[in-house]
Amino acid sequence: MSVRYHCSHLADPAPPLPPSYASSSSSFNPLGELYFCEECDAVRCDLCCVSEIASYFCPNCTFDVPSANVRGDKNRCARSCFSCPDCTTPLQVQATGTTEDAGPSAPSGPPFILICPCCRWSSREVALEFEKSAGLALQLQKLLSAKDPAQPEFDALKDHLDTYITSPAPAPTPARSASKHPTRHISHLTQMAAKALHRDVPGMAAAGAVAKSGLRREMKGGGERYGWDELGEYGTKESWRARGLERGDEDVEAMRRLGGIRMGVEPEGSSWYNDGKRRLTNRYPERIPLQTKLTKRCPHPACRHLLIQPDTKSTRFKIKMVAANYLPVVEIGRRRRRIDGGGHGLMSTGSMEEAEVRRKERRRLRGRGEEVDEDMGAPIRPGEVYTFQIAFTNPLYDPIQVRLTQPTAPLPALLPANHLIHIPTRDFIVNPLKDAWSYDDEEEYADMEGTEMGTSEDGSSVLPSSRGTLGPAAGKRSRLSVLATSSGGTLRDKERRKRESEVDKKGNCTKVGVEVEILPGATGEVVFDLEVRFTYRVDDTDGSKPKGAEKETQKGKEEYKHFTFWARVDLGCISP
Amino acid sequence: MAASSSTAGAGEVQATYLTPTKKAAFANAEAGPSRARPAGASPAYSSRRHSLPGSRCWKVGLSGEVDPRAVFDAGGDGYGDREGMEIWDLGLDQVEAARGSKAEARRLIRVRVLKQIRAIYTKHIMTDPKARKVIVVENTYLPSYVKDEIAKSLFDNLKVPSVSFTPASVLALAACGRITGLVMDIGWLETTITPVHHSRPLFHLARCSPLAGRRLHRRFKALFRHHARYYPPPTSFSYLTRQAIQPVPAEIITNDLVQRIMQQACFVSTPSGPAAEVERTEDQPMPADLDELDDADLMDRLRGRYAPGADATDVRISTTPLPHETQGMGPATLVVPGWIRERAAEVLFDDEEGEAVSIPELVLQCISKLPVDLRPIMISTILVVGGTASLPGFIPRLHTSLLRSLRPPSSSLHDNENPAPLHTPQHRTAETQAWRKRHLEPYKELYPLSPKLAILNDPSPLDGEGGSKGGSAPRWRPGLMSWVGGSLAGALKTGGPEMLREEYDALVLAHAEKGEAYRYRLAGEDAFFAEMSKQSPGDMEGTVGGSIEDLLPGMALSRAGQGKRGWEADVRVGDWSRVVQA
Repeated sequence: MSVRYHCSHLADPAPPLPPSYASSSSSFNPLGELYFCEECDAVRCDLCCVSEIASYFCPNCTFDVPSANVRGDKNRCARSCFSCPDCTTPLQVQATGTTEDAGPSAPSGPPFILICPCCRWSSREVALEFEKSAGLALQLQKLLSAKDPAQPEFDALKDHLDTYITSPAPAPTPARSASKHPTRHISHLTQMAAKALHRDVPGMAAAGAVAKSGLRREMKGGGERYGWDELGEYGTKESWRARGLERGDEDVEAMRRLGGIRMGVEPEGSSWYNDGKRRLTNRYPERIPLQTKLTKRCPHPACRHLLIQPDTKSTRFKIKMVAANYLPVVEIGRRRRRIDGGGHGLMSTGSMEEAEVRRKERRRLRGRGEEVDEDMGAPIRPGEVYTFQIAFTNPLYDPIQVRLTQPTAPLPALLPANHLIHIPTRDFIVNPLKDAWSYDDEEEYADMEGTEMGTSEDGSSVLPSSRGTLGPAAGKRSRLSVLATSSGGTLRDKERRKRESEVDKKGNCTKVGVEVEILPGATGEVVFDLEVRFTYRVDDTDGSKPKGAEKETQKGKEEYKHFTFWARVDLGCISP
Repeated sequence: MAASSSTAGAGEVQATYLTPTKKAAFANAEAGPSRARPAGASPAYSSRRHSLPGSRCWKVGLSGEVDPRAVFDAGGDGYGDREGMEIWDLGLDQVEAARGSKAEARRLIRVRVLKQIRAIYTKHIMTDPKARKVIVVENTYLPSYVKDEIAKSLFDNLKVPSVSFTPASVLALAACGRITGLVMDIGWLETTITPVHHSRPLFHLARCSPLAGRRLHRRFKALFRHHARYYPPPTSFSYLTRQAIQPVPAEIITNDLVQRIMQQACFVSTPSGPAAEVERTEDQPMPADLDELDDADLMDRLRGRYAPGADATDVRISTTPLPHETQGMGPATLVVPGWIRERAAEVLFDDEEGEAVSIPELVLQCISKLPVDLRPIMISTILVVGGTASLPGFIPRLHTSLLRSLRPPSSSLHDNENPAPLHTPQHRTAETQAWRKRHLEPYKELYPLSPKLAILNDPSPLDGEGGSKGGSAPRWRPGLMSWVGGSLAGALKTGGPEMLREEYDALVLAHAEKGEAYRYRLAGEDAFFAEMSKQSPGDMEGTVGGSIEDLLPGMALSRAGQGKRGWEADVRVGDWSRVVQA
């Protein structure tokens, strides 16, 4: 059960691929994760906007790490923050020794150990004690690097290969990393070919001869001719051979006798050097990884405006252009299932004509048929008709006129549809965001006029222009009637129409119904896209939100702007 | 230092000379950190940063460092694909979530690659992509469309200054201080064997097989389902007896669980002698179409083959109980029989009917295709890398299997004992018989090389005659070998040909222009033909320059200066010698 919004990335806004295309789901995100660029008047998402790192901090000690140190510290906190190797809880430093000054009761001096407040893991398990309580990372690093054979090995390898790469090559540079220059002249080519023919082929005669001597060092003397492409034998610091046969079989034997494994524990330690042991026994605490605050920019090459700028000193934002401030919030809820005996005879195929027939039938039976409220988490059954309420909440200070449709997909769906959607009310108005107390007045006229507005086809002309004239008592009654749809008010006709269109307005939120007919025998997930096109008024007297649009507005003149976005509604799985 | 000097060219040179120790490179290591998650194809980023992306497991880090900064399972959270385990598959039409549509598969791979690459920068490396060059360590058979998408993500979305794709085989050897060897990469999707001679990978002699991590994973999963025992938690304190459930409920066997067990509890045992050789049950045909997971018959047969002689202990694993079972009564327990742990990897060594050739055979096939001069060199410098190869005991087992295949069968010795006199019918018969039997010993010509056989990173090298190279390599984990090589390459400022962002942009632009021009020309042609079709036959004769009746097929078009739709008559090939590098 989710509603996600579409981001067209850098392309022009266009209807997304249907839900059966798995790749399209990458373009949909929850509203809370989207940004909005006013200059481009477009939605931006995490996948397309340009991120820059504003600052690094340790989530445990909240220390703001200067970016110069970050890489050297391997993106981890270089102070005393460690996480438990068992349960990843931050470890605490505990003094275990006593000093002369303090009483013998409270241990306060060295040695210090790390202890997990959650699972009681202690660094003594890996024989780890510290002499000072500060800068543990450095102390641990010293301890570990002394044991770690990988770095010297790596350095030795580097020096070894360096001789190969920097060794003087014969005059026409052969294609070692054949990227340098294309050969300029054809005669050059023939020259080289001639040379190559006269040269000893490396690795054949030469290599054989050298192999016999047991040493494949740089060719003595004749190094100029063919030695350039030879590499001497690399003497490993500590090879398997040096350790002996038995050591190599250790892990197999250990594995053979294995009694049980603990899930949730990473088997590998921090080192990638294979020491022939499963590293379950010797696990050192890890320094806590740093986290970052990101600055985000609009990815459009001509725009590049900042969308998010965090304040490095606090948890606030200097700039925060989030889509939730610009687009209406779409939510889905209040599931009802139709209970009616009739109309099921035709439910064999999913053709549009038959669906239309069934829909008319349902409408005819509406008075008689019953709808029961269902829990949103209850399983969806095939062959049933459900009615959902979709709520639109307006974040703008202006009313918006919404047109809700199903988008025309650019490509045919990959899977046959398992449901049909019917939207009874396609056009409606969502009231502006206001202070909470001003809604009381608002609702009075909304109740009175909302139904007309709700079903009106023409958007711009029906924006509410006058206040309701009914007294407070009438307003209260109308509000009641919204909640209990069956209670008849003074305007019976309007009531009926309201129930038909199922428009429910309250404050800056409007709820409309949508009918979802699950086809018999359908399986899989019920996912559909909605196209929401809303019209808002921009005029310069009103400080309306989208400033990009405002710029274009003529002074003193009202103007209406459209914005279209797509939302994907996921209702969950059909359970047979 | 180098990284801060931002883009390409000048910065690079300065970095080289000023602060050689501070070069950062990204190594994208392919297969998994751990044994059981090999990466099928793995490109990695190098230079300042390098990375080794595989279809499943990506390794990324900065060059010059010994450990990757992050190793992560890139599959699994793939878009729209709940079962998704790998980012790409062997073929575009095999990508599961795409439902057979190639265009969709391409889009899927694009978003998955992009998402992972962005995660590398923001989550794992935490650095500015615009400041660092990238080395991508690519597997021998990395699909070009994946390479394409990686380049696209890096250049278009992240604006990196340069990318160089470097062959994983060369880098793996470099991590052992070598430039020649036979690199065997046992990844997730496929096993590839690439001979490398003097730092030139011989791609045309490389071999590959889908017998790799994924195959092992599936086999293990099937064995696990049919032969492991599942004990749900007791229903109440008064009734504590727990009944084993077999087969294990499918909901329990998640890919993640299988992965974990394989990483932590699986190993490969080496049969102690010829007696332990698995007997083939050739009389029972294998139903090929049945999914292995549901094939109880096959699983029972495998049990009959594997269980005797396996002496590994059973392993208990605690898991969370299923939702419908009693909660709060402690964890459920899974018991994995020892023989599964010990023998599941046999699938890579057995050559069952209908399967691809086993991994040892693949090695021998590759070697027998090599030039004769290279065979002794290659067979004594086999280097095994890749996530699956990290299974304990894998390499010794491979060594034993190779040796066994190189041992002449006893029967052939008898044949040669009393050779018939030359030029007699008996001799000819014997020759014919030998010729007919040749397929029984396909690697006969390699037999003399068996004393030279050595695996460089063999953890328990057999000290045979001439096998002095075995186990002489540094002890990097097999899954990490290529990554370390990438890190070295980044630190040494070398690697595959480097492509700068400017070049890439120019290329893409040129390509787009060419496409545009072509489309424009096509439109022009279409207009021309539309015009033609409107003309009366008389006018048409004027256009084509002859009588319509006399024309043979194709002639009218050529006379009108046109070929088929989109055909270009006089294409001039540029001077290739200026383009092709010597």
